[in-house]
Amino acid sequence: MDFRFTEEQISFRDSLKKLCEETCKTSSIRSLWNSLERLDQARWSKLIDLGVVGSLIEKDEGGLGLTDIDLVLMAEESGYYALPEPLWEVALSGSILKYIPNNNEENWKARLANGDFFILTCHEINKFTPNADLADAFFLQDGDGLYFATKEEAKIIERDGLDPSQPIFEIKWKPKKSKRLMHRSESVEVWQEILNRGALFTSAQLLGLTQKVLDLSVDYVKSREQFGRAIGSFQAVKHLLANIQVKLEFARPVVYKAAYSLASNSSGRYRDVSYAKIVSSQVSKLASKTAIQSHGAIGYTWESDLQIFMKRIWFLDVMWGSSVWHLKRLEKEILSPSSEIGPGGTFV
Amino acid sequence: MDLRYTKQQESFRKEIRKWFKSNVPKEKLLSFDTKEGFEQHRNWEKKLSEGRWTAITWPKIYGGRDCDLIEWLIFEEEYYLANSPGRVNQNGIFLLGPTLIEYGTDEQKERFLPEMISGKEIWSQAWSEPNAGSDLAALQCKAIRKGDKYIINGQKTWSSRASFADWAFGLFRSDPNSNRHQGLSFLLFPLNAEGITIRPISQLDGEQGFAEIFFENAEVPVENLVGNEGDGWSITMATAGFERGLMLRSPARFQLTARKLVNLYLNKEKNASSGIREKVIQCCLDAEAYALNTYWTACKLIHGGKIGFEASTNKIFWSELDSEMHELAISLLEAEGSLGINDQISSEAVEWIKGFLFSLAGPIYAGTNEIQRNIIAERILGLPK
Ligand SMILES: Cc1cc2nc3c(=O)[nH]c(=O)nc-3n(C[C@H](O)[C@H](O)[C@H](O)COP(=O)(O)OP(=O)(O)OC[C@H]3O[C@@H](n4cnc5c(N)ncnc54)[C@H](O)[C@@H]3O)c2cc1C
Repeated sequence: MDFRFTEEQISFRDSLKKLCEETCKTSSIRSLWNSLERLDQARWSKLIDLGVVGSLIEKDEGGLGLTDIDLVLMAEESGYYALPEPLWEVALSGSILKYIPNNNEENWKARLANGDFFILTCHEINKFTPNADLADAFFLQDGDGLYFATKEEAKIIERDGLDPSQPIFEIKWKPKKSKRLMHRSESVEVWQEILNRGALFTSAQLLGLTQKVLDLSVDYVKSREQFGRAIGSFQAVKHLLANIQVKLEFARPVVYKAAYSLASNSSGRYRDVSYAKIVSSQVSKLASKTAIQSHGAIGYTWESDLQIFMKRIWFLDVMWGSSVWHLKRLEKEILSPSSEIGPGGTFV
Repeated sequence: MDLRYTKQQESFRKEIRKWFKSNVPKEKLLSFDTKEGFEQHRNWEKKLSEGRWTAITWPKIYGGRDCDLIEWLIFEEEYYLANSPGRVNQNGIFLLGPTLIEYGTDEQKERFLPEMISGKEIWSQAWSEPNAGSDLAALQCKAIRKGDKYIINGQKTWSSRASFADWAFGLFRSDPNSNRHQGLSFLLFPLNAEGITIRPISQLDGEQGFAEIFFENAEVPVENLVGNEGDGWSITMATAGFERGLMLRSPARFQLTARKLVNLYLNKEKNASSGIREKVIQCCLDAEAYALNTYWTACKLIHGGKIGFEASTNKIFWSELDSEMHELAISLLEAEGSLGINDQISSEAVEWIKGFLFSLAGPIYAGTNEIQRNIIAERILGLPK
């Protein structure tokens, strides 16, 4: 029993942190909002060099063959900086390559691992696909299986979204039998795995985002003065922020355990991932509410950087299954006389 | 990261399960806040010590098993699964014991630890005073050194188990001219000493769970001073850290309550109001989160990490969870009318009601949750005083 991350995992996280610290300032995020450029190319190529995009692709397919445990801290870190690029969505698509037969003429498998071919997965759990305009191709599911479609074969329609960094799209597409990668009998489980992994990465990002809005709030209340003293010295303000600290500390191990369960393909992974998504959604939403309250009116402005992180929280909250969806998914498992709830049930 | 138990851990679990299966009393013991129940629980402590189960994390030479924290967690899981009685000597075993092991002299360890392990001496703690609750540093009860004795005068209060216990440990002002955190000393004293009067206080449930302690020229030998004279505050903070932190409230306790809550919900589902379902699930998730956080912290500690002010987040989390679970149970019972005063009230309902009352004290004792939030805000988040 060892719940720690390895030094390697921590230093992998630290290298992403350094990259984000240097290249993903809020000014850079904002500049993309007003630009025709959809990606920060310099940042993106550094991210590619780091290997995250192909991290979940097996080594013999040209990837790094890493696991969810190796990545969860990085996903958390990318949330802290509200990284706009669809790093995790692309990495996610890589995770299912191993199930896909090697008969694709475009050789997109290798190109996906290299990061010069974006495949996004359009999962019906998500009402829309963020960043679809950046994709070269999509994985899609139809009644009879899992399909591949290039961007020319699918029509994408932009919809209004809340987070200016995450444009959202509806995908219209007609399945072509020749592009079916897997029959439904095989794809159902793969599709579930995608959902679990998407939810895990989302949960981890939500942890990072929570830490960020907490840090921003702490900095702000230390410096803002009213009644002749820092507002952070008022207990009503202190206790709001302390509550976030408590909930965040108790959410982290839940998300890390979910990463472990996915990586080890444990039978409890559905339950664990749903736990993770529920707690991370809860703490991050509470944190944004608290952050805006402790900022006062400045937090309610476009100018305040708080919006960058809060909007990402609200956006990720509904991705890969809302809390309500995940709660429904695990309620039968919990509310049953034979459920594992109870002493000794944590790691079975 | 590897979240599997080792073979040794699995077999340790089996060993515990086997022992408890044949040794946990078949009849539920009376409450340890009654004279008779107190003695029953003392016997249980004795029995535990015969199996060497009283304080498994203590070093072997003091009657422990040198277990690490993961083994301790396994032990606690089995302890609660077996529906074992509560620990009447928890102040001794989980708070004073570790304090003595860290700060006590060899003589003190030899004198006190074996009697603690065997249940022969049951301990209570004496920090609070009528005018020193949250603001413990305002305490006034004096212990002034005279020759090889300390002479104690003043009053302590809210001392859990003191109504029937044998010994107490507490914090006293040893320098009459000192202020606040300075000039305090940590002393051990027998509750039957001359000059000490115990006045039990009835709690919300009517039982005498805590007591006032009055001192009138009570004499305590200097051998009973823990640490140096004047260093009492830092030793007390270490003890309080054990209380808020890992050891006193093992996850198994809340996981068992969550399990019982699920069972209760399944029985009463028909009559339950619609919002309850989600809340019950949430409690189960929180009990799991508490367990995961404890395993997480335990792994950190085993590998040389330290527990700091996280102890305060811990205390808030478990006390609020416990309170929420019991409130839900009460609503579920209420929906069926089983809370009414009648002779058909089930023993299950009685247990929930008692648990509910006690859960209300969780956010108060061991430092109120408001004080914990102050600590988190100031010490972890770095907000100004
Ligand atoms: C069941 C039970 C068992 C106990 N067992 C023991 C024991 O064995 N030994 C022992 O020594 N003591 C024991 N206590 C006492 C306990 O430690 C104190 O009750 C606690 O420290 C609070 O002190 P108080 O009761 O004087 O409340 P007060 O300090 O008067 O507090 C009353 C309220 O004011 C709030 N408050 C006070 N100061 C602040 C502040 N600075 N900021 C914000 N809010 C504040 C508190 O949070 C609380 O809500 C026990 C208490 C209970 C309920």
